[in-house]
Amino acid sequence: MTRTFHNLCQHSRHLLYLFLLITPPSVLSQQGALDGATGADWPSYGGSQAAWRYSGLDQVNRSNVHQLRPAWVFNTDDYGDGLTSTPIVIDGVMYISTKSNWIYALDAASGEVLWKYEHAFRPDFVKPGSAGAFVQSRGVAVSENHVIMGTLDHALVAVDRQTGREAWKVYVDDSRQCGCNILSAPLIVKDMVIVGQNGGDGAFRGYLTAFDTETGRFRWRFHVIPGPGEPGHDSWKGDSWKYGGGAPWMTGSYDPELNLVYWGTGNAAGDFYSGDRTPDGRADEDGINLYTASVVALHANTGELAWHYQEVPRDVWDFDSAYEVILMDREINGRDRKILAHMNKSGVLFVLDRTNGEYLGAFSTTEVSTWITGIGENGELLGRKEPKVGETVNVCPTPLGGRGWNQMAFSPRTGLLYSPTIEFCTDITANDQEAREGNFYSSGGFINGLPEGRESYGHLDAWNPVTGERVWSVPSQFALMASILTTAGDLVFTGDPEGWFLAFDALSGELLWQFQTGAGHRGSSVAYAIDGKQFIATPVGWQSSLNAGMVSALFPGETFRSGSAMMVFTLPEMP
Amino acid sequence: MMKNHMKRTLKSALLVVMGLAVNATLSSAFAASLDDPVSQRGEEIYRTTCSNSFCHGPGGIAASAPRLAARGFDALYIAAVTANGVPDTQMVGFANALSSEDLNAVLTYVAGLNGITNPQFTPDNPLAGLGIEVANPKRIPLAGAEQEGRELFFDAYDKGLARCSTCHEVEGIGIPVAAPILNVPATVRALRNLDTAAVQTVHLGDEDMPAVILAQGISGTLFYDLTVVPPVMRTIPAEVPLSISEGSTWEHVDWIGAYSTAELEKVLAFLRAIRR
Ligand code: HEC
Repeated sequence: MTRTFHNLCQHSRHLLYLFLLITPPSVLSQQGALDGATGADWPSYGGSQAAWRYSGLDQVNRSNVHQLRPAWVFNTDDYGDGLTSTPIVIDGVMYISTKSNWIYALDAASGEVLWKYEHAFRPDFVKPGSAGAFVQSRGVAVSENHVIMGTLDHALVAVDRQTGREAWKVYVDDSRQCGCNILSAPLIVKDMVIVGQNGGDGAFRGYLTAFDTETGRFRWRFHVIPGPGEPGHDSWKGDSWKYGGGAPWMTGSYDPELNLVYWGTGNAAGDFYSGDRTPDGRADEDGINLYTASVVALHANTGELAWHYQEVPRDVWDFDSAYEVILMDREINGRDRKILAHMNKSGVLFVLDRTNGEYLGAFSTTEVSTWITGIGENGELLGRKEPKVGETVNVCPTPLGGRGWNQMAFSPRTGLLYSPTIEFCTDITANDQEAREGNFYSSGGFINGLPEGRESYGHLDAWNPVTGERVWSVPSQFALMASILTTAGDLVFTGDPEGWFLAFDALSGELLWQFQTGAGHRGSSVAYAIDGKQFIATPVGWQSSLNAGMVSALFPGETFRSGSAMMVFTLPEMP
Repeated sequence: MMKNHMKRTLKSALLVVMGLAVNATLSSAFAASLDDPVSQRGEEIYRTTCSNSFCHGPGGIAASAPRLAARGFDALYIAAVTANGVPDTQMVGFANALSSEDLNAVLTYVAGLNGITNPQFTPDNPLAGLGIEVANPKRIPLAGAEQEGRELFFDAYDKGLARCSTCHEVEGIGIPVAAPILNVPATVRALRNLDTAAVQTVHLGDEDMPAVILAQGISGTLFYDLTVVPPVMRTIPAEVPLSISEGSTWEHVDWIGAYSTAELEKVLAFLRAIRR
């Protein structure tokens, strides 16, 4: 088929970002450079702790991907809201969590069940009127002896890797008070497991907590919002720090050499109105509502803040910075640099020096973007178009994100980041709602729609993070809500809402293979190998709650098929 | 041979227009119902608890949860669903989450969205006489030191993990590490010097830990490890050697140090008040 290239100038792309990074793409070659590739295993949520979602396996590649065929399919028996998780594969065993907080251990070669664990919930654990009503599980973390999962009633539970029996469980907080819960996969860092929580739009004070992987004992807690007497507390007005949100609701990354943990934090609450949380006379440039809508780097052993970079000071758009933090080493202006690439819901991708948080550059991945007019030399947001109390203001992109929480992938072979972008605008009407502990605290409402003149809702793009150049782009009728996988076979995999599982050429964006899996895609595919044989696995099952409400505006008139299955592909046996 | 998965016709622009139209209709049709202070208060409660992109949306126009405006609901139905929720859905009951006054206000507001201008709920007990039974009785209203004590007991901000509700479940909130509080000590001194016979010592490998034993059976031992907060619920399978001895070095006083004597007085006043 012929690919449709999108004309960049076709839409109102009035953002011209300043590119400080002007060196052409470089090949990752330096000795000792950070390696975020996975091998036979897929040991961590983002593949490796560097969150590349890149498999070093190349048995399946551009020349033979069209021969992929199903190896096995596993139905989880936990239907209703899809399968949104990233499977973890270690030593031939696949661990997946499902929306009701079940964990399965499967033989990754055959799909046979080795064990199943079902989390038992506390009664009445959903706080009425809170964010805690979300039902999903985005994955587990696997330590030496345990499979560890955050739960809908805000516990962290560890089960024995061999038997599936519960080993320890700790209530990180009472979901009935904080109105929060845990949907994201935890991150293993040395002998600790680190987890955040959902609740970014709640009147709640977000945090990350580290526990001992063996005993479940508390090790440290990092509050996204500094308490009285701590640096940064003065970036909050009055008591607003108690209700300012900032929940780090996705999974972070870790650099073992620097011994730093990186995490993206949620937006400040109330979402669309900052009057109650902005100290008099404080400028956005000084950081307002720290450390919400930021990337934070924490000393792994203590959880102490090493540095922070606030991408959206005084956020009034619900532009969470909670998304993944991708660590890589690149050559910039002739110098090898340790950088990170991080996108928030605004669709703007920031590139920072990960040793110290220095701003290196930023670019917008959405074609339509009106919330700011540009970004200044030091990363400051210019020409902010802010929601107003009692008035309706149209901004692009929307609080749903220029991309969903489904993640990008980075290939060191092409030097490109692969990202599913959503083109969507919204009419926001703000209000000066009063905060109530643990309740939703959105301070407004919004109604979404396509930007004028556009016909499709999304595109899959390849970006050079060093130059901000878009190397290729493939339009997609519907927003892509599944994560991206890229491999050393120079392939890019993802799935769409209609159920197609797709493989693209990582260099050109050409669609090379597709398979109808029977239900929409909302999870994250992975690659692994057993006895030298490569497998590509994808969760299947549309998050059916996306068929209703605000997000459904992305798919007008459509309801995609739900389900909850793991579908695994491989190449046919050689004769 | 390959389907172009990207092609489809579009109905998008329509959506924006529709969304706005619904909004406009609502505000004009039911503007009148916002004239009285109860409905106004109800609208405020609605905004903080029911209306957001994940639930019923502003003005009841629907978001991820169904539309509430202009559905032809009657007052009884609105009260019953709001009070007790809808089983097996994300709609939970609000009877215990809201004060009577706020519940009355929000019911009145949602009734207004359905064209019922004078629903006549009983303000201080809006569910009275409707035959709606609420599963758990709601929090009793308290004032002064008793209410302050309640806030201190659950205080996530100044006390954090050192708050009482890290180990005690009271009024349906908190982690029930300890058995329900039955005896409220007469004095702060007594609270500090509690006899904690329920805390035993678990010997596991070369480690001793203070623990509240929850269950012991053929498959293993289930207990709360009290070494640090939050306490960890551990399950040790039977095949792992473990022994338990009476008593421990654990003392209640060491875990309530975040509270001053004056604050503990208030907390005790709260615990006494809810037992009245
Ligand atoms: C680290 C956990 C922990 C914390 C924090 C804690 N307690 Fe306790 N508390 C316990 C345990 C365990 C017992 C049961 C001791 C026993 O029965 O042997 C207990 C017993 C009690 C009892 C006696 C109940 C009865 O019926 O005999 C009271 C009263 C009490 N706690 C009040 C408080 C108050 C008030 C606070 C906050 C200021 C508090 N506790 C904080 C663990 C804790």
